[in-house]
Amino acid sequence: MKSILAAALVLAIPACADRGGSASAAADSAAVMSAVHDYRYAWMRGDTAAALGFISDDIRILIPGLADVNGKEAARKLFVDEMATYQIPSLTLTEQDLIVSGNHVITVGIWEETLVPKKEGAPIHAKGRFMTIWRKEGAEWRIVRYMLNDLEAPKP
Amino acid sequence: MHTLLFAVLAVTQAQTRVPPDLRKAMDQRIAAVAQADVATWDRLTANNFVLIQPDGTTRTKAERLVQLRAAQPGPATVVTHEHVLMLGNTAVQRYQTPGTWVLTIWTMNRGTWQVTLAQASPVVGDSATVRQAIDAAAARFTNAFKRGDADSLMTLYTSNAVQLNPNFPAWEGAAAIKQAFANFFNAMTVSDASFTTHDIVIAGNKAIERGSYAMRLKPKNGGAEIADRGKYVTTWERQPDGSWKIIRDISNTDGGAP
Repeated sequence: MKSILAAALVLAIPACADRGGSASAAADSAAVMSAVHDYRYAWMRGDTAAALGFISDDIRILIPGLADVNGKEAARKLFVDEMATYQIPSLTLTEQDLIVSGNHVITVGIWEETLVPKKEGAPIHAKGRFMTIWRKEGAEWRIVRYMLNDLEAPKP
Repeated sequence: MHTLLFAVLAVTQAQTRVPPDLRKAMDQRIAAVAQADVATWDRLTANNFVLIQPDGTTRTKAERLVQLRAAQPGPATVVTHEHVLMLGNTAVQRYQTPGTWVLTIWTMNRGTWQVTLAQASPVVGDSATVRQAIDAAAARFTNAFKRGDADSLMTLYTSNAVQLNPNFPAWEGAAAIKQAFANFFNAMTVSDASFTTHDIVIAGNKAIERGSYAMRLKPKNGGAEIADRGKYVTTWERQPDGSWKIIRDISNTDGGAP
């Protein structure tokens, strides 16, 4: 499970953001893309506080085989544990899809990554799909729902 | 008595203000959408037509024609609360269909009434109403799944829905989803299945359902019964007729039930 967790939490940079022509939808798509970029970068450098800045108080994280992670404090523990355990030298995000609806943005896609244990052990390769729900909170976009599942990972 | 007389008179006068050819065009165009009648819709829609959708995105005439050509004829649209304001050779029509307010601007173009602009706005239900609607749709899903009824399941998906199951290719579009369910039901008998909604996030004309499932499956070619449980996040979208359908669905597994 751990092998997929970090990538799951890094999410996606949408490749094709706006499904319509409205200026507000395009602006919301761009804002979420920016948030995803910053959030991903926070994970790459192991910055727990920065990453948690993109997490809503009522976050629900749904990971295969684990109980739901409910709320920001539970997310904080998860993030701290993950960042203390792994570095993420490689992460790719593909087949991405983004839907703007009201003050929410739904992103769907595939992630693939390599995790390197900080203490010992071989690198771990993992791959899966995600669905992430972003919500606009004031001027900020934060994640309120996140689910991932598994796809067979390629051989290292 | 006087009030009643005035009301009847007012309604009569309002109706007589709408020219008969415009009245006919309005009715034909609404029916054309329900019946996926591309030719009629095309004739009654200006080339510079723009539709503003409930989520704020827009569609041109060409884009709507693509959608209509792909659509299947459906039941007649129920129209209520209609009002038409005549402004010379322009008419502003507004009406409500289940779940949606529609505003259309009609103009006379070379002797033919055509719509130049339409805007659809959701009649947003409160969270309890949305939850009730999603619960009802989810119950239909559960019953169809337990029966192994792919046709009934497909009434709950949009044509461009995407189903994302672990360790399978994505099922993209209604045809692919239907085929995948049919293959699944050909291989497995559903002994039991339950889907439990934990919460729903309302997002414009979408509703994001978070839940968990448990099921027991018996391979039709023999072998031991399979038990599975896991979680899902389903994005539902309110349709023009007020129903809710699945546009995106993702699930994961806890790796088998005890």
